[in-house]
Amino acid sequence: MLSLIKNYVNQKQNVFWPGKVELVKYRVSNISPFLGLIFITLVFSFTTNGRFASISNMTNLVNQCFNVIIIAVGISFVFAHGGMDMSIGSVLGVSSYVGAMVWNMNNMPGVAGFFIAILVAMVFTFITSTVHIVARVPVFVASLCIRYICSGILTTLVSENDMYIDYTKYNGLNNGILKFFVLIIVIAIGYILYEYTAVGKSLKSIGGNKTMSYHSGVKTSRYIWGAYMILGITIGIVSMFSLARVGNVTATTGVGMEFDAMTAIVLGGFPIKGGARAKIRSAIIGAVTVAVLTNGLTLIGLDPSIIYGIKGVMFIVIVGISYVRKKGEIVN
Amino acid sequence: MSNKSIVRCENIYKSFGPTKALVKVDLQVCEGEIRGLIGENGSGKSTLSSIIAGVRKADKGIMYFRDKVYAPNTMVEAQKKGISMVVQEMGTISGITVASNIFAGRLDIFTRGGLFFPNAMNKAAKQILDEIGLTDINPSTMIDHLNFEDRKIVEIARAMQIKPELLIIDETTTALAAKGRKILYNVIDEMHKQNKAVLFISHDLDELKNICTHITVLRDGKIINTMDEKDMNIPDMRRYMVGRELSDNYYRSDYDGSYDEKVVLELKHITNDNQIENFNLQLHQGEILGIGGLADSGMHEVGRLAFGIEPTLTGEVMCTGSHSKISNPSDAIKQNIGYVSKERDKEALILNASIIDNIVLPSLDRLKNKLNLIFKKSENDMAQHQKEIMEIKCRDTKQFVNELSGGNKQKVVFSRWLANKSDILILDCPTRGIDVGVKANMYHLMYELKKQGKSILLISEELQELIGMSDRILIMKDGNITQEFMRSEDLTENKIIEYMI
Amino acid sequence: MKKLFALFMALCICLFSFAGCSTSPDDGTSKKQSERSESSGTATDHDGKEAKYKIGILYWGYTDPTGASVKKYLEYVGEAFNCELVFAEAFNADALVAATENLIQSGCDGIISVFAYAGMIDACEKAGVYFMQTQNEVIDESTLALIKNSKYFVGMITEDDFKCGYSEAESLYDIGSRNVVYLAPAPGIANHDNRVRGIEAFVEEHPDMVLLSNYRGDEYGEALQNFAVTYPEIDGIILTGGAAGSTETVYQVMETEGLSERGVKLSTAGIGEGTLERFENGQLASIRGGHFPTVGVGFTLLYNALNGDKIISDPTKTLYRPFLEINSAEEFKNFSKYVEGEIPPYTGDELKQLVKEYNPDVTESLYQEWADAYSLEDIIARHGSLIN
Repeated sequence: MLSLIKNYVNQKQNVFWPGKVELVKYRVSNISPFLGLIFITLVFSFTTNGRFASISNMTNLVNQCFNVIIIAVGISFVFAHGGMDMSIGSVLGVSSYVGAMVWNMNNMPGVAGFFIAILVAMVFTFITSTVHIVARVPVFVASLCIRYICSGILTTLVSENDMYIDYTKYNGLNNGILKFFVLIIVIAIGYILYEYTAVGKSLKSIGGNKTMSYHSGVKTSRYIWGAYMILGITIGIVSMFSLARVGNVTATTGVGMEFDAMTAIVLGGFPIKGGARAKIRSAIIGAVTVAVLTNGLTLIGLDPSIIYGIKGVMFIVIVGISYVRKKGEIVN
Repeated sequence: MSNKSIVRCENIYKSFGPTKALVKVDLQVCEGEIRGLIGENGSGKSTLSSIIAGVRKADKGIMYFRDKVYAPNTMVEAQKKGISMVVQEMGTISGITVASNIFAGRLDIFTRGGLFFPNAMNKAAKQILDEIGLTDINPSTMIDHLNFEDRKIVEIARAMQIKPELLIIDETTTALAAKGRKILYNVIDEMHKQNKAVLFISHDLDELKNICTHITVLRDGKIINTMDEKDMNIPDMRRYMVGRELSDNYYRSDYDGSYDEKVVLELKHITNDNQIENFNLQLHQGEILGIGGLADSGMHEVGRLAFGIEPTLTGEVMCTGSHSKISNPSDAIKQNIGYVSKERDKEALILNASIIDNIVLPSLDRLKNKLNLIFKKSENDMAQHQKEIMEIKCRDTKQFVNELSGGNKQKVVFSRWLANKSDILILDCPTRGIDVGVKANMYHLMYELKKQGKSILLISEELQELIGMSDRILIMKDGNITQEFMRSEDLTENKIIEYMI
Repeated sequence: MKKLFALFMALCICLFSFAGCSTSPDDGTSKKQSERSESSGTATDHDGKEAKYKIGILYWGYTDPTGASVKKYLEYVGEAFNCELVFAEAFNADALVAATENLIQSGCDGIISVFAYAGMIDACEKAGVYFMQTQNEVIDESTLALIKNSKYFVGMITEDDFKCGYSEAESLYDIGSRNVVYLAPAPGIANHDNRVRGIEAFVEEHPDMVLLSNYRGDEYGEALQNFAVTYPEIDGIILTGGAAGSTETVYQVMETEGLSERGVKLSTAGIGEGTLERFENGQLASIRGGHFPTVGVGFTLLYNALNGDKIISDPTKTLYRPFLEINSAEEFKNFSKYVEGEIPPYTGDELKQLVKEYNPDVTESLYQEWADAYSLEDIIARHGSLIN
């Protein structure tokens, strides 16, 4: 701190540097998502007579936030470089279906289902990213196209009958402890890849300034492809765990996943345009917070429409406050 | 020159929060004066001119216009009195015609009985354009069809159409090429002849020396000195601006233009889809090779081609030492070449990222450990090292680059390539918009690098800089090299200009 | 700083809603009650008594006509049986499992749900919470196998969609239509698919009735216009129901194409606004509806199970109940009076006849008898004296 003050006093340039107060505020705002989460947890535990914090509810919570957290990890790589994907839910549905087909075949090991589902998801995210990179179509449009294609595929596939699996056979995947470990592993790998390798750093710099990154030798296309591949992997993983949890694939499987994921990461403080301030822990905390909120609010017995309303208002409030007027972008 | 005062500022103070922009400023501009106003970035010159032009109000102090108290609340009020300003940034309104731009805000002149007569406006606009010398523009053209320079000239026309007593020009010449500058100088000349006054803010000390009758120097918000014509010389101007003695050697002290025989980078028969066709160039080890010319001569494109940003349609860009072709920036960086773009904020920096992020980006491969992981400590060390060497003024290396001044930003850009241990540097307008003090540091650094055996391709629109720093200068016009000059004491701008135009 | 402030504001919003509902934790009612007043009073059924059971309801939503009437009726029934109700809604599969878990977590003893996915059934089984499916059924083998092995799955009760479609075609046949078309939503929604099967079955059994064409999708209006032009011999249109407003579109097309003047009759399912007028001006020939009491009957089955009385022997067999058939303006007036009036088709006391606690003679066949008997005449017979 002392050196900071010295620097401030010694400066000759007329540059506005934030003073000490600003620095404290900056540090606090970095941990405020944590604080918020702890606060909500305490409030819920109190108002539900401890039901919230019970082991059975905690197990439920792990199950319920599993999907969003893993997708949030995957989506961080895509948003970090300024991309997006509106097709996540539909792709999830299709890979669930294909995975279910594999699981229904007699001689296939369960792992094969995972591999195939991940492959299917990666195919679609690959198409999205390729159309964007090669044909220079904005990702919003490209991913929307994939969304409709996948949605159409899924609806056609389940039009006669929903696709069912043998629930009891794969019920082992619903184990809370197993899921917890899978979460930890995925978060760990995602975190390392994002913060400690050239992958995350390059993606963030592409999000900050694509031209400069290109001038600095970053092979932008390759990294963008990579980001979508990572997203595809996470979609595949989630699709099979989700399938095991529910027992079937319907036309509504996965619907809305992209919005849940986007809400989650924005809530955690992840900037929509990516760049240097995009931290993966924001995405993860946001995902956990959304799950905790949904779980807790339902436990209290609120009317479901009120719950939607609350989520909507929170989203608007948080995004609105993050909106930097002079830049006109959502910067956090 | 008569001594009647046009505008007089007494005891002006202005602060923005904790920053003192102007402190006890007294300034007087008289009839017939062409007053130059110089100072480093942040010295207060734009603040002062904006107060005079009615854009903002001073905190303390009084202004007089023709000896009567003058306190405009808006630019329009200032214009009514007879003071108008042409600004640095884009000041024309998109989507309407040239004539509408010129008469923006004053369309009531051409309105009678509720009906608006555009023809009258166009006619008046044509007259003004002719008067200032921009004769080839039709006033009913949409402003968006004009190029940047012409739009600037329309702004000058707009400022002139109210027949101002004082014309303030705020760093406009950076936006103008030869044609625009000629028109501007004519306008200034006319003002001088008519015993009116001009307040001219510019970074181009030569230009000011040639045109101005007096030059006032600002530093840290205070008036340091006002020079009249006999006192005007560039070293003194610099000294007043910076506040300390710059070593005599602003550029290089030597006139030894020697360099190694060995060629490090060669452009062979390269062509792009614009002006460059069958272009050849050789850069030697330990050489500072300058490339000069007009803005559209193609020299900026050469820089981009040399770094692989734009692919060449024919021939190749060859890094001679390793016999490797350069077809994209990634190749170039592997060969230890660095590139500083002339669009600093747009292309050379990530404004919304930290100094560390900006510095380490090309060197990520270098920082990887055995497991391909990059730890924050190694990034921090690299950035900290650069911060010390380059004396980057910042709070710490985690600070975001958009909070730095122009000079420090450029230091970050340079640091990036030094950290990557570049042997060849392609610099495109590296000192544009940078204060004198920092500029001197940069030139010093370039010379040091040359002595270490590094090679520099220096592309610049500033002839003085090229003459001062280069071992060899290539002048380009329309995509071709028109002349080559070797380093010499007698080399002057005049000798070079004819090959540029 | 901004993030801190934002989170703080968001939490305030949450706290406001906590304050709003912490006083009546069972208050699942929304402000969206229908205009007709509740004869049974407001939904908070505490008169100082402890509720006997807490029951969770899982539906796709409560704002559409079906969902709204279901909610209203369940609130009535819940009050009659002194049970606390918690309403939840979810649409996609994962959210349904999550909602089930949360309902269980909030202390529900039993759940009534329109969806029955393996994950939901399993969650209830593990927690010992009884599960009753209404207005839908499970048809795939693996889930049925799960049900067979479960202790807590009570059963499935739903309307007979096949019979609905069948009877729609029959109604038109009875008034003379011989050349018909049908319009239905795109394949994939079980209810409508079954109704379509019913329609086609009837037509197949009656060779003198011709199915000219059919349309499955969302654009009823366009499709009907095409049919009107292509088949001038049309004299009957069957709708299996459809999204909000689709019936309106059909009426409009019938008017513009002059179908009604030609004597084309319409049969549809799902009762909406203006049905009486349509009957009176002859556009509408026959309509199906009034099936929300199914959830009430389902409720009694769940209630029995909670009491320990197992009524249904084989939960893998669905219990079917009929739609009400209304074939004239007169019948519709009765419908409005007896079905959608203040007294529901089955009052609380009547329902108690299905519950062993109140009627020791309850058997599974009694439920079937009630299902077979359900019709407008039946309701009028039972409630004629109650309603003047």
